[in-house]
Amino acid sequence: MSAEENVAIARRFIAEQDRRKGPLPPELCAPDYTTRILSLPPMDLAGHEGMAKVFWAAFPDLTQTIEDVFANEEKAAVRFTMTGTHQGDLMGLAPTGKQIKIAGTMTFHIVGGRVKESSCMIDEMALMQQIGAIPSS
Amino acid sequence: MSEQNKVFIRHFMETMDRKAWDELRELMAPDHRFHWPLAPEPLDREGHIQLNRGFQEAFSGFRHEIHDVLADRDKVVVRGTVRATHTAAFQGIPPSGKEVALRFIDIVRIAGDVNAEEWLEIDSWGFMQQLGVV
Repeated sequence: MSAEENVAIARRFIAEQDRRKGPLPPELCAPDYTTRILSLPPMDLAGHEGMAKVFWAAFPDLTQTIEDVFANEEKAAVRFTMTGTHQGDLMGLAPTGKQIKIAGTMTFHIVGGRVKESSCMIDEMALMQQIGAIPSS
Repeated sequence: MSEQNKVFIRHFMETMDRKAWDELRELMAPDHRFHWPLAPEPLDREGHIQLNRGFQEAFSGFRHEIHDVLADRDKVVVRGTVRATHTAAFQGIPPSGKEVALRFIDIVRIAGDVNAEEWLEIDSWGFMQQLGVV
């Protein structure tokens, strides 16, 4: 795929995840899709979706706004801002109604128009501070 | 240019690992901006150097392990792990002797052969967990 096509795939991947509130677009994921999120062990498609659903349940209006995206013929990178309202339980933390705004980055390895591997890092510390789970530094 | 930028970023990280602060300064633009999750405003060149220097005073054997690099035009993204050992006090946390592994994704914009702007995302929460703070 060209760099431009891979940019479009990365954009669609993120937009579709927002639209579906967690689940990933199946037509953009390779059958052996794996992801690495934060320092967690690698997860497959079901694992990624399971984790994303936990987030969207806690922040039903969660939106990922792309700040920057670039790619070459096999890889793409996205820098985004995640915004949402804490309206549901997050791993035992009761909803606070607080707004969050955190930064994140994601990388994609794309083969034949499908994401084979992704990697995602979000500012979890800021998230915990913004919902008041830990004190702000 | 992309290939050159890949070489640059490896050199930049290796210079940081060597604590060669003067050399590192030469690899950053005078108006360098460093976006870092734990600071509300971007740091400037000296602020970025001081941040890493302070970290390396508490964490010895600091080294970048690079897993993956993508370069496109003036941008590079690096996925990797920083490894270090907590041998001196860090933000009031007494030295634990723990070896930490800090996963990161780093985006760098290169202009005029130097690091003009950088956006670093690290697993800050995982890091605090490894230190036993949260």
